[in-house]
Amino acid sequence: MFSIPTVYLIPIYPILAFLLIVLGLAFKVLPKKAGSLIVIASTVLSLVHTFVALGQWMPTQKLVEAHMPWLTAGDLVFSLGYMLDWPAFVMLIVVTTVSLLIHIYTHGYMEEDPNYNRFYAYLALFNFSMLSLVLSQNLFQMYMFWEMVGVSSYLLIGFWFTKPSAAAAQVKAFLMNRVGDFGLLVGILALLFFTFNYWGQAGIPFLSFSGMTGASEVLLKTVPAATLAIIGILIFMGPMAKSAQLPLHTWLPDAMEGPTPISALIHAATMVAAGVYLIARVYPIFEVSPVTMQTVAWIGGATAVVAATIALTQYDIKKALAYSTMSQLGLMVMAMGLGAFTAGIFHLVTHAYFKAMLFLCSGSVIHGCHHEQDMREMGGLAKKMPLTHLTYLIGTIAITGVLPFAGFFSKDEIIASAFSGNQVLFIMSLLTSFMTAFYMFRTYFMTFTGEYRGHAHPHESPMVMVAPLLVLALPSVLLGLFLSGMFGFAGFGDFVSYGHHGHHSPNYLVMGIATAVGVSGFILSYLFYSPKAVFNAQSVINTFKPVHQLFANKWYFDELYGFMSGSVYLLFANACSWFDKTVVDGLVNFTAFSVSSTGSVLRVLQQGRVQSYLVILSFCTVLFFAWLWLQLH
Amino acid sequence: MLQPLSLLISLPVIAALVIAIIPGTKERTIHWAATIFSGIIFAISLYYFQGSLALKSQLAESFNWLPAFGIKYSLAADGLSWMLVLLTTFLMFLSMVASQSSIGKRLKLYYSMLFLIETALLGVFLSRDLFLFFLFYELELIPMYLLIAIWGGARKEYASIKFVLYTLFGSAFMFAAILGIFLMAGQGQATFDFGLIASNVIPGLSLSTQVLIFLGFFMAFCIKLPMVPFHTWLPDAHVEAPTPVSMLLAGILLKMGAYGMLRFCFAWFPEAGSVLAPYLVLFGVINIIYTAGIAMVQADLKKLIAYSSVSHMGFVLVGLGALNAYGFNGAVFQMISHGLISAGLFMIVGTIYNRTHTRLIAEMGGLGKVMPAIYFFGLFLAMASLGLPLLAGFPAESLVFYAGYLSKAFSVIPWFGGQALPISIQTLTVIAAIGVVLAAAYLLWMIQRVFTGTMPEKWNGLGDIIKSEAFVLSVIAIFTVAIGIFPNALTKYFEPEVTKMASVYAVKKQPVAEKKAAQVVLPEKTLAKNLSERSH
Repeated sequence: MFSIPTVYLIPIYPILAFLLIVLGLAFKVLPKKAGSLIVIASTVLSLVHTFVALGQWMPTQKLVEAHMPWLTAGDLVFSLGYMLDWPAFVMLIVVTTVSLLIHIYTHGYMEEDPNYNRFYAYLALFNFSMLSLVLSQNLFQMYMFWEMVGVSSYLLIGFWFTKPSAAAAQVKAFLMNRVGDFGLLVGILALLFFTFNYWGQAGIPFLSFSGMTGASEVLLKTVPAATLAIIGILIFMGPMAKSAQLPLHTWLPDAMEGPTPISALIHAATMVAAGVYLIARVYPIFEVSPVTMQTVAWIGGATAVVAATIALTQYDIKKALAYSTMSQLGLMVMAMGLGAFTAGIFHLVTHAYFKAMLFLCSGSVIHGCHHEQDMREMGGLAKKMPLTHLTYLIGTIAITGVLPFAGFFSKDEIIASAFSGNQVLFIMSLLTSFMTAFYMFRTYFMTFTGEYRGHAHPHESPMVMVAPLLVLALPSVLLGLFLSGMFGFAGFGDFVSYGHHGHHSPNYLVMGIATAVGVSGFILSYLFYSPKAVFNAQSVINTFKPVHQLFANKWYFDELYGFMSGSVYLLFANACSWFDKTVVDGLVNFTAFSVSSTGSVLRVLQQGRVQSYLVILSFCTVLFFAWLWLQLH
Repeated sequence: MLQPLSLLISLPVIAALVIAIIPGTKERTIHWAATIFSGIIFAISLYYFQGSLALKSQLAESFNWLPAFGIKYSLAADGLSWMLVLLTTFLMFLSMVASQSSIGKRLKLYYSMLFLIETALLGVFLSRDLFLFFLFYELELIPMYLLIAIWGGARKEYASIKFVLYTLFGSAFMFAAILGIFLMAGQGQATFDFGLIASNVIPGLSLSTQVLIFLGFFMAFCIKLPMVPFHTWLPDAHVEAPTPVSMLLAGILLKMGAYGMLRFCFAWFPEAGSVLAPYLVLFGVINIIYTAGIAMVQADLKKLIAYSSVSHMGFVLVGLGALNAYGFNGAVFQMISHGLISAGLFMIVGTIYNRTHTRLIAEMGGLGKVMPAIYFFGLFLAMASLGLPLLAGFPAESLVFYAGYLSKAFSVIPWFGGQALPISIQTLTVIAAIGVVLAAAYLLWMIQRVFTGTMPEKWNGLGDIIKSEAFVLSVIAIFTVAIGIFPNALTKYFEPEVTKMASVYAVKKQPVAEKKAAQVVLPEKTLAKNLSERSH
């Protein structure tokens, strides 16, 4: 049952779980807490299948591909299939392991919720979509599941749909992703337009990932550089929205309206990283255009910095983590743009574990503080929630990038690639590291140290929630070391690499600088927010009020988009509506009025009823033939 | 004994007669009799469809009806016809079920009219004689008029008259076009037979005559589709029509327009089609974007869905105007998926209205709390409508987008005085693709304002879905998912024929020598190669 030829079953297990729960709910036969059992069982199956398949694949490590036609029209054949290589396996492992832990955690977090089973159904739908996305054999297929993860995210953000803010956030997330997907769609269309012959000649389905290198060579030969850049940037619009890169990022912080397990699974560890994964899959297309690569790198870098500045000012613990996620995704995207393929994916993996853990910790805190998310209402939780505290601290150190924690190795590689790639981006990535250390320790100090400032009675979360945290702490500490390639084990670059870029030898200068920057961020944070603070944060805020305002208001992106949708789009819609009602329908009614007036006149003339049918029919026929006759003679 | 297709067409009339003799007081009996009859008709259509597949036969039948004018009573069912016949009998059955919970007066007349429409629709999709086609096309009009005028809402007279006049206005042009074909035929060649017209009559016509006759047909069908600016009858008709009638209107009646365009305009007049394609695609894109804009700001839920329905029919125009196999198949796929999805959405509107007795979106909100199942189906259908993968709308829209972008139909739009607008079909396709963003916007904002957020106090205590509604919506949902996951299971029935229809556009631009040389290579390579050659 578990083997390579049946890897297509990996996403099938969760979709069966989804169907089972949906049918159970529809016919009202599902026991109250059955959802978790069904979904966890399905995730275990996916996980076991992944590892068994990996075991079988390891000896050869050759690319495995299978596909079947899905939609045929003439010579246009879209295929579905799967493709196995190291990036796919890495993603499969990340998704299955993280989601298994989160599914267990969810049982504790959502236990009281009346819609417990529905929540698990959505989780299963997400797993199906995400695993299918990872296994996708071609870009068209990935686009399909790309949208499917979007809809899962929509459903989960709006899980508490009676909350107006959640209802608004889910729509915003979906729409912003749709804008990105529009670009992605047009990019795919253009790509296929210029490479249509190639796929047939290569004998592989349209848009196969395994043929991307060949396709990029065709493009390079036949298409001007500007077109190449446009295709790349259009495709990049997809990841821009999915991975919350500027300027399509504003949905991610709002997505925190969803229950916290979702924020950990979808909006930190897996789905948002799908953008980076897509870039990895179409990397040859990006690589042939320096403009595209530059755009990707700069957008990633800018996102990393901007998101970090916003994170500095947040008081909502989940929002702070959301901006942190955005910032880290920015680093990954920047790495991809700089050609540091391995570093980008490596950071994706380590980040998935420690950020999932951080979010779950925040969930534990929120759970313990009775749904309080404002860090000003927390403090001193270290004593009351010792295990959550410990894991949060580990996560914070990991993301700060202190040796030997996971973040150190992956982030260091990104910074090193910026160092050799572009000096400005290097400084930006250092700035990001500095701010990351600062705001992460800020959240840590505000939440866990000092005196408790809230009014609830915080308590440690149940074991079912804490255990996944402890498990996640393991990769957060060790994964980087293990895969760094420095200590005898095989390095990450030996598995996942692109072209000749393998793992390169460590750059001790960059390591030193990055560590120094991280540590100084921690020290500054300590001086401001620890119980022994020497500086007053508020007075600094007051001194730099305009800057703080800019950061706290998220650089006014929401206002800009609010204006655009509120006035530009509604103006267009209202104009159409007005035009339709007055001009188009007005003309119709006017015509009808004139005809019926003529009819009344004729009726008077003939002293009887004239069927409008005949009038129009004969009138038009005569007219038409008159015209025809004129044409012919 | 009647032949299969004749039997299929006459069964609804028989059902109508049987309904007519049931005493009017036995309302449950009437409801159930109608439902069962329509179910039987659906089953029989499926049975004949299977038979037709097994025998590889179109079950054609024909006899000379009015030999003096060359008018024949001739029926046949190819893949395209079968798809629409099955859609008709299927949706007819579902709207009969839906009628159980939404129609309460003059049941006998109501069901008789529905069955009469079914006969007319089956006739339209099965006719192989132009005169017969026209008769069936007009036959649908009177029962539809009565259905809106008797069972409609507040402005039913206005809406029903508008519907009739508009359709007749278009029919006049079609009638002229049919007469044109009849009269233009050479000596002794006069015929209404589809096959003979295509093979004998049309090739002899000059390009300008072809364009004129194309436009004559097109005028009738674009009103039915409907195409901007001839669409304003539809929202009015929808708003006034009772739920099951709206389901039929959106689900099948509009498809008569789409079917006619493909069967007559595009398949018969390739030269005229090539000339007119730029404008049709332009109008298709206007349809998509402009009506999406209108849908956005509708206060009335049913109007919103009606405009959304118009917007989605724009994809049919774009697909046809792409003049290639992908587009034609996309258009046919869109007919089917739009038939399912829009019927489902109108059903949702009806179920909400039955409970709240209002269609104003502003009065709703948070309804998902009291009607979770309706929320589920509503969201599901909205997602299907906005083209979510694995649901029926996605394959259709994908095909249309790929068709448009890969099309070589035109690179500029010829304009007055020898000028040309520098708009290629690729540009128009990209604009059409904005439609998917707009569709997501108005549909999800609709869901947000109707089902989520805080619920006004007054809706406390409203009930959730009842069995007959759940039945209709689940059946639609199952088919929507099935087609969405296995599109090839559907396309295999019509794809070969529709691809052949499109071949008239592909073949004539290929140099003969190239064609021969290409035949020895693998088929995939040939086609890819041809495509590239056409691009240069």
